[in-house]
Amino acid sequence: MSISRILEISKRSLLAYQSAIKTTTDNISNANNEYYKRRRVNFNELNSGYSALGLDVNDTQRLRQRFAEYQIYSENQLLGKYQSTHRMLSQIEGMFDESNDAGLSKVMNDFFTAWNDLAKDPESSYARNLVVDKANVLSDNFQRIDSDLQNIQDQIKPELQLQLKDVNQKLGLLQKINRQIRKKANPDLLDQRDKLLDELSQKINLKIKEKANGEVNVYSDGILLVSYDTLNELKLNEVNKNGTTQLQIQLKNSGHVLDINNGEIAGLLEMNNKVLPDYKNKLDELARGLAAAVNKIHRKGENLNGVGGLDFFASDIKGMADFKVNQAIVDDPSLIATKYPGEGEGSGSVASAINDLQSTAIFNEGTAHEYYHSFLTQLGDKIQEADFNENSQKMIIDQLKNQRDAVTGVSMDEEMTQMVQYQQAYSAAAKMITTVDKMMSTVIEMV
Amino acid sequence: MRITSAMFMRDAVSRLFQNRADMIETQERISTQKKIEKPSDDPVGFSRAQRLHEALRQNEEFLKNIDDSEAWMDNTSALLDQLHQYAMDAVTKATHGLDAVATDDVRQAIASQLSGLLEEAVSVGNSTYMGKNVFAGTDTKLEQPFQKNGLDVTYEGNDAKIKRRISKQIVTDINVSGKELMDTNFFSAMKETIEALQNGNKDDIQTALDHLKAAEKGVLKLSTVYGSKISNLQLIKDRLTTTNENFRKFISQEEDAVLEEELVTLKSQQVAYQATLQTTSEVMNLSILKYL
Repeated sequence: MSISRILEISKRSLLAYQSAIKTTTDNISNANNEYYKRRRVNFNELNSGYSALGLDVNDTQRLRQRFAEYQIYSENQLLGKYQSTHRMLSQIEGMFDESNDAGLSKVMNDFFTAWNDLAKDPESSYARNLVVDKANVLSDNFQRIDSDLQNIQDQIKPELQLQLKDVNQKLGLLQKINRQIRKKANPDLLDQRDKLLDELSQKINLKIKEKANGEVNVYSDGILLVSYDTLNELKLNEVNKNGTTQLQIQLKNSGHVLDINNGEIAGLLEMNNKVLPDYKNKLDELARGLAAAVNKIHRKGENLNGVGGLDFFASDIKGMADFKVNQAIVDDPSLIATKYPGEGEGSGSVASAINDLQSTAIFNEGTAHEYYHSFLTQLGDKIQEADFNENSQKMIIDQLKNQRDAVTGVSMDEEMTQMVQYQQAYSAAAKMITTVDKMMSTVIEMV
Repeated sequence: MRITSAMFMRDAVSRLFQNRADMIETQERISTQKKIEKPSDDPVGFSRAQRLHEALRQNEEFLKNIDDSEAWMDNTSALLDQLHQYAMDAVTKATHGLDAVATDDVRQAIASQLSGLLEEAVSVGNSTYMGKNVFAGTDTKLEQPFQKNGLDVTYEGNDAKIKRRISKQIVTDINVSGKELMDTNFFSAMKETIEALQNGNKDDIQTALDHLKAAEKGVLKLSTVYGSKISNLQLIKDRLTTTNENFRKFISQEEDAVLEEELVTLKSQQVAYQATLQTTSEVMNLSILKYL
């Protein structure tokens, strides 16, 4: 073996440790990058013939914790759904602030109390005006709730469109990354790919298939959204069903409708297609039922002048939106019936019967108040459930991220230790070169 | 297991957030003094509290009805007492007409006194309270429910009852109708007595006086029965008031934050938060860098 061989080995060592320190630097500078996967240098002994030629650094290895990563993708989908559901439901709850004087409970109470006052003083026009006033406040309140619900519903569509734009952009990027990876894999691209998958999985339900070279195929509801040569972008579609506007997600190209059941987008879809129409129906039923019950009694009665057979509320109320007092009564409150035909003026029997409606079970759930309160209680239940789901889901994901980071995360202590180790090895290799140099001088001096 | 600084930070931050969220909740409860503000704070408690609120509110409406009814009934009761007083006066005076010493002149004088009483009694029957006829059934806006024509008194109102709901189960009548007054035969007995006194036939006077006495008893009975209604009302009022006190207590238990409890909770949350902060900062400072 010649002395120059030793020189060659030393040179290789120097280069190998230099590269190792570069990897360590990479790791350290990305220590706080969530999507960065820790890299490690593989030192392979070079063999050539019988004798070792020194160290060589193969491609650095990017560490993975595949199980945890994929779990995170699938748990993210649930988290996204819980989060958007919770957010929307809290908004809805805010509309029904019962702690102040404008809550529906209070307004309904005032309405019934006004009838009680009229029952006590059926001869007075003041008590009649009060009934009309309170009924108007009630109808304003119903209409406010209706338009508030509508406002919440109206903001869903633009938000979904933004979300879809984002999803489409991410799908496009994934395809680009797939193509680049096929040309030449690169750990930085893989980090970026993981970031995209993580964000995408919060939006919609998806399945990810990864090939050996790092390309990914992303499926949602069994449809391939992105691969090396496929890109299926999504779009929002509106269909009218039973008078409500249902939103659905379909493929831009073929129009095939996807069943999106997880992720933020699913939460928004469910809110728009099911939850909000449900809530609106329930409250519409309250408005309808209340008006019908009052009208039924009012129609049988008559006013002081014996004029009767009128509806108190408009006759064809379908829900909160068109809940209003009969225009004839608004124009002339003296038309309000207080007694049954044939009774004396001082009998407030009709007014009293309408007042009694407050404790009459006019709905399956009971009185108007009980109906409304059971509605609120259900809403509260749902929010609590969504809140709980969101929190526990966050914990699950944090746990999984810890599992993932246990393998792929950068530990400063580890990197620093390695740096010292590599640095010393580097110095040693340099020392080798000076030693060989000296040896060579010795040999030359021998001549 | 490798523990990286990112893992450590994630755990620390999520714990700090949790502590903060807990503290904010407690703080909110302290500042609003309420455990339940929104349905989602405690759906079951919320629905219980709402039911209690509703029951309380209805009871307060009933209490207000009772108060209003009491005013009306006190007035009616006073009028009935007055009527009874007239009846007793009439009986006393008519009895003098039977005295052995009573001359025709005396009897005529008594007859005109009784006419005066009858006049008064009719005007009591026509009294109004807050613009409504008291003794006209539900025909509360009649000019004069009792019409007096010579000595004949006729009643033009109806026999209907004015009703008030005074509890969830009880609807009570608050009026005495003119028909009930007529049914005591007070007015007709007065007429009979006055005519008998004017005619001077002792037997007739005796018969009329007996009728008048019976009528006086009738009016007294009416007044007494009505009076007992008022005391019944008082009983219901007391019961409703007690029930409402209980309701308020239950609502408070359901909704109100117990300050002592919340303050202790806040204190312990503070301690937990501070401890987390302190240990986090201490552990974060540990790094191999210091020792290289």
